[in-house]
Amino acid sequence: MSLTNSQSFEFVCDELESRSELDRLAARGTVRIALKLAGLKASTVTAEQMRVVLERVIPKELTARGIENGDALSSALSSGLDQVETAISTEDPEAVFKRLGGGT
Amino acid sequence: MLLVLALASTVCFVIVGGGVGLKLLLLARRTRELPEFTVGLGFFLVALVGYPLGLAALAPGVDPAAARLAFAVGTVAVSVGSASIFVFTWRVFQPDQLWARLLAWAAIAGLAVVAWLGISDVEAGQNGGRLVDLWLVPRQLIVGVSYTWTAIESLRWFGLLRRRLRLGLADPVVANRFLLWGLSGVFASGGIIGSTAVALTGHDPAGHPVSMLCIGLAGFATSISIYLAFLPPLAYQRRIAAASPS
Repeated sequence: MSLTNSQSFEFVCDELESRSELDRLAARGTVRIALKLAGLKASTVTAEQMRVVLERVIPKELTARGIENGDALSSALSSGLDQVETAISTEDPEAVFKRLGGGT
Repeated sequence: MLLVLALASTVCFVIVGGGVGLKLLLLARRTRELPEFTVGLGFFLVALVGYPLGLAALAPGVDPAAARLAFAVGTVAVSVGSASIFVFTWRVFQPDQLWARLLAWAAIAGLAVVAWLGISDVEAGQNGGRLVDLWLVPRQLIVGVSYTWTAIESLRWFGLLRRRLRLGLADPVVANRFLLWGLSGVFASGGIIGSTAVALTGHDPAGHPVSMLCIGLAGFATSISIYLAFLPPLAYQRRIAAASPS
């Protein structure tokens, strides 16, 4: 697994920091916690996966941090993900195990 | 009774493990990918070569020279097969981690050394003519680490995929495959721990009731796990999918 974070993660962190009262550390921490709750990693999360996290997990995390417009903010961040390139170069274990159960 | 259990479970593992190994090697021929090649080679060598030759070497009435040859080839097969499992776990779960690379290469070197020492001992007749060599315990411990490591990594990924399942971000059958592969590692480690414990008490694990019970139970459990993981019947896949929280 790459040690660098995915573009989806960086995009959402940057946007969350600029559109909310959260500072850089708090914004990144909030997204990391949401990803952990979803069983995802900052290094490999794709735009598609991040959209689901923005819809189902991050609004609750924002509310817990006193941000009132969590749903609207998450929706805006999700729309912005369209412009993010999320090609992951490394193959993760999930893809390998999916293939191992397939036919020959 | 215990002998029948141990033999039946070994035959079961030879059939299932061999089938899984062949399936994954055929998959690797098509995809040219390392993971299916390494785990396929591991099962092929351990189940279809190592176990049958190991049993043949212990069979009564076998010519001593043929028995020693069977022991040597079987030991090499099990060692190379276990090395393949180390490479699989390193490359699939921790490809960028230095500690994982070092662990895999150290284990491969260790397997090579203890296999060579074990075969040399038996060839030289340094163990009273028995085919249980003095290097059985270290070899078993390294093989046990291969299964334990892959079990830990796989069960950790099962935990991640369980969370993804709640959000509809994972395939329930794939998540279940991580669980089954992890459990197969736990069962295989259990069998090895049992037989190694017997060897450490100074007894010959081949024929000892405790090791036969451990090998018997672990063999069946491992066979069922890898069968459902890599050769899952459609009905089983449908059942897993239907039970998914997503």
